[in-house]
Amino acid sequence: MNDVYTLLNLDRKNTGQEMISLMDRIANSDVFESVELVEYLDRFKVKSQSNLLHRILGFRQSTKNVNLKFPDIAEIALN
Amino acid sequence: MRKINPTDYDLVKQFIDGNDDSIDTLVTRHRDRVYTYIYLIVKNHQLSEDLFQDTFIKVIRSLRMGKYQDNGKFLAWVLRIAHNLIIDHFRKEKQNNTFSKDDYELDIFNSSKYCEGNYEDELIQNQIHDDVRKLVDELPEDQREVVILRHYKGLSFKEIAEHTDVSINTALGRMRYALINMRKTIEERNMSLTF
Repeated sequence: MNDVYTLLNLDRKNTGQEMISLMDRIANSDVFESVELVEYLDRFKVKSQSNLLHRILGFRQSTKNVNLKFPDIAEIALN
Repeated sequence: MRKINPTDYDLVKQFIDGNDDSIDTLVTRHRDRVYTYIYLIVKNHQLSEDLFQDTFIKVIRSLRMGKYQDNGKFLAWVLRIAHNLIIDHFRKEKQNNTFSKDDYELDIFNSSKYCEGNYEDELIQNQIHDDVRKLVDELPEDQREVVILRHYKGLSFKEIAEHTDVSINTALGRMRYALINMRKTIEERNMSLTF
């Protein structure tokens, strides 16, 4: 969780190798399953500026005949 | 008879069994936490919304492909997908200085002004991105689809043609008409999309 705290406090301008390395380290951890992370997200909740559900439904409808091809990235092999 | 408060697993199962509404419940249930996680890292609403959308489209696709096996950790799985998409975005951002790599779409998209590295102008840039996104949303469906797949998903025209079951020329034509329509709207509304 310490890596997550460091990441969330990094300046957005800092998207260089340091940030990517930190994110890679987090990706290889089990922090996403921690109660502490969920509590943190609840405590610092940020609301979106648009209707997120509508965006997903809108996109799904506008591309309903499209079998999207996504780049192969790590989580595809999660299970 | 469905439970009043179905678990994530119940909803996933219902979705896989063909109940599309179940995914709406899952998105609604977890959207604040997922959106907050993305926003706290990228610190930009427009980008967060795009990444949020990508995350759940990937979730939907993975569920349909049977790539999720429930272990009571649906939210953790979604957060991990979001996290990996953010890494993917940062890697792309680091590699490319421009929003588009294609010579075809010069005017509206292929501009160094859309480069994420120009943080001093971030507020103006965000407004321009919002305006461009609204223009895209107003396009006819077939044109909007090509623009989204090309510019927001990064597919090549060959891939777009394959996935929309049209020829490459048709995909290129739709992009051309999309740009013509967007330029026309920009002129009609006297919009300024420059710094």
